[in-house]
Amino acid sequence: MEKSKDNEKMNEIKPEKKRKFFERFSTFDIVLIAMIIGIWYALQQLWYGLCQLFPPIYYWIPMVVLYELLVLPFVIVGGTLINKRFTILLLFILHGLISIVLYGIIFGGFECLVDIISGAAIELFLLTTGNYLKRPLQGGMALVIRAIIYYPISLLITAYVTYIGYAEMVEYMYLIPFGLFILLNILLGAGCGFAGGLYGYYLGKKAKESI
Amino acid sequence: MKITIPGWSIMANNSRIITSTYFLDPRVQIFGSCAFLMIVVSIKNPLILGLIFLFVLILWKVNRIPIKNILSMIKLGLYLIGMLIVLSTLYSYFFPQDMQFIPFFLGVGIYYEIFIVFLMLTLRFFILISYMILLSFTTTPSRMLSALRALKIPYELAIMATITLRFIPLSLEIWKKLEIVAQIRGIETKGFKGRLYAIKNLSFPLLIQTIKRAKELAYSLDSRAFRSINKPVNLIPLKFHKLDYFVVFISIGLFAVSIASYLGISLLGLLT
Repeated sequence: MEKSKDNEKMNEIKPEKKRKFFERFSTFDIVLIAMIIGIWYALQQLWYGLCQLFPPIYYWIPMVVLYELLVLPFVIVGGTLINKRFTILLLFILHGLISIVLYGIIFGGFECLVDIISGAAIELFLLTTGNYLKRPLQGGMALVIRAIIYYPISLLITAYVTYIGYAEMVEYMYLIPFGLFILLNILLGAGCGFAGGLYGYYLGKKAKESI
Repeated sequence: MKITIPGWSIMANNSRIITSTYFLDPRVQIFGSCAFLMIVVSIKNPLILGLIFLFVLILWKVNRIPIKNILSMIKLGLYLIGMLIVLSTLYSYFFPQDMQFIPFFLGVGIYYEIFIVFLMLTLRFFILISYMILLSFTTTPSRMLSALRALKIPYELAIMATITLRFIPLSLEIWKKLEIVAQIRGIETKGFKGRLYAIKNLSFPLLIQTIKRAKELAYSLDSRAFRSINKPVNLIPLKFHKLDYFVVFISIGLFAVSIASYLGISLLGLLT
């Protein structure tokens, strides 16, 4: 009798909330998300090498353009391949976590914070528009939202937390206010991000068809 | 000018330098880093920042980290100083600024205020980067992950992070193979155009190979009863030692100093 009561109690135990979040993902999904983040970091290294071919004074323009067009589409590829709710958020959370592990708490911590905020915003957009990443426009808009959130927050953190004096340097070098510099980053990021998102969506579709 | 992302090359091979810093508890390393960030951000005196940079370099020497890793940073600093002098000289002729101009020779010079801002910015950058390199040389990703696990990060996320860390060098390896295949077929992958072409066209085969590997790994994880245990144990048990307590004590001191500077307490005028 006692044993059966114990068994009943065991059955009554509800899964923890944090485990519920992961229950929607199969083992394959979890591994694929991890590997896509691996590709993201590997491409980041290639992107860094590519940007060094430009003169450092206007370094930020090729950096933003190439990152949005060549590296970030893989986020949308991940979302299109797995196509389950909260995939994009999980991708961004993992990216932030890895940046803490690789770059330490100093840079990685802020990167993780900005990643989580932008991931949550994209997720909210995808959940409210319905049909999780089943339309190419959703892919494009997801990266536009990321650009709108990521650039101002990360640039403000750079200017006022990690590298105090960065804003003054930008204003001196380009003879424009720092606010305008942030706006230019957002516009460039959003424009290229939209194209990158569309490319990522079609790449993901193609990959899904081929497997 | 070639600058690689710090900590990247050493991440590919999992070897680390074994010194006293390596034996620090990774949780203490995270806490210490936070304190270090606070103090570096709060100091407004270039001389003190320079001394801290020197201290980090001494830590490098103690931990037997090759100094050549810092050369690329110094190169970048010199390049930026050169650029600043050129800009200052041009601005003094075409867009005169309301600042003190210090000429060196033949009208070539620099604005004093901008030079101080630049010096602080560069020193902060150097300190943070060199500290980051120090951390990545003396902490393995697996130790850092076990610290994050101790901070109650979900098990699945920790496993995903482990897979990612293993897969980054692996995907770079696959990429190199794909590049070689493209070169054999007569496709140029060097220079800006070639690299751009490579990233655009080789990312699809990379993606397909990744999906295949993901399938294999998922089967193998499932066959090893992945997610069947609710509370798995850590591979690396974390324990506090005397040195850890000492570092925690120092870090608390650093936090106190940085908070004091925020509150406007000058501490012998060093921080302001």
